[in-house]
Amino acid sequence: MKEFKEKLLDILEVDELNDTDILADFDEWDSLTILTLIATVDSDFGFQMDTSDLDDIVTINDLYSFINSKIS
Amino acid sequence: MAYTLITGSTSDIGKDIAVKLSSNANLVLLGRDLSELEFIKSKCKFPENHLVFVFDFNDIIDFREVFTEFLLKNAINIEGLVHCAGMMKVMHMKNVDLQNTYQIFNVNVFSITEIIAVLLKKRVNNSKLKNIVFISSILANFGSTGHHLYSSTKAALNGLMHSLAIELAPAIRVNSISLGAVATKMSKELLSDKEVLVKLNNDYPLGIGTPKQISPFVNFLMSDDASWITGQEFTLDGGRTINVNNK
Repeated sequence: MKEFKEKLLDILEVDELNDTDILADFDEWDSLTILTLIATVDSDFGFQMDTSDLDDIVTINDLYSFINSKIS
Repeated sequence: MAYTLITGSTSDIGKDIAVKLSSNANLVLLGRDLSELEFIKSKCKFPENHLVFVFDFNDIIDFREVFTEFLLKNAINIEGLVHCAGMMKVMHMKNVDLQNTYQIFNVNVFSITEIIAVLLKKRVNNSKLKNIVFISSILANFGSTGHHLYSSTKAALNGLMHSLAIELAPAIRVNSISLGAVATKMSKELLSDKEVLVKLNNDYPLGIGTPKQISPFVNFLMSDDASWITGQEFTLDGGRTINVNNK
């Protein structure tokens, strides 16, 4: 997860992330960023997210929780 | 015994090709998941004639050794080769890293260069290889946002196909099939978006494809009916790449 968090900083082009940050509020958040995130989750955690999974993922913490629920 | 090897045989396209070819050939079904491979084997004609070989190309370093041992242990030769294994990564170019690049090139390209190198060794395959088909993509020749890695792997396959067709003639024919969008597990994510689907239906005069529209053509290229065809890239795309309508 630590490595993934580093990648997320890179994808969103920010220096730090807070759990309560809202994904859609980042300047870098667009449709291709969503696909980048899906590809990154796939290569780091070995499962394929659906874009519809992101309907319920609002904050950074929601994203971590979703990944944890899939890999635990 | 002579066999046809199908990589990516648990993909929707690979599975359909396997079932189609199984009437006329003994198959080696290659994929990552044993239970899925066994399931596809059971769907083939004459299941008892076919073999499964489990390998994950994400980590390719040991492949040569494991593959050579598999061929020698089973005392089989590979006569036909269909390369279906393929992964797609759609992302911002600025977020591409070496891990992504290695992964997609391992699965889409280095897998098949390793396989062919092994199959050309006389002591392993007795010069039995006759026929190779690569499943490529129209994205080898055309552009699409976020598809840079995928496009470059598919262009690599077509380049490999051209030179191998010359180097290996007349003993071995080598061709590729560049596909447009096909409804599969791999494209499910992209096709689940309603906007994308509307656009695709406008772009594809014959609609998007199904695996059943591809396997008969693979079967033809693998047969002696195609004996004067080599070094060609065939486009199967429902008319996508010749459509200049701007709806």
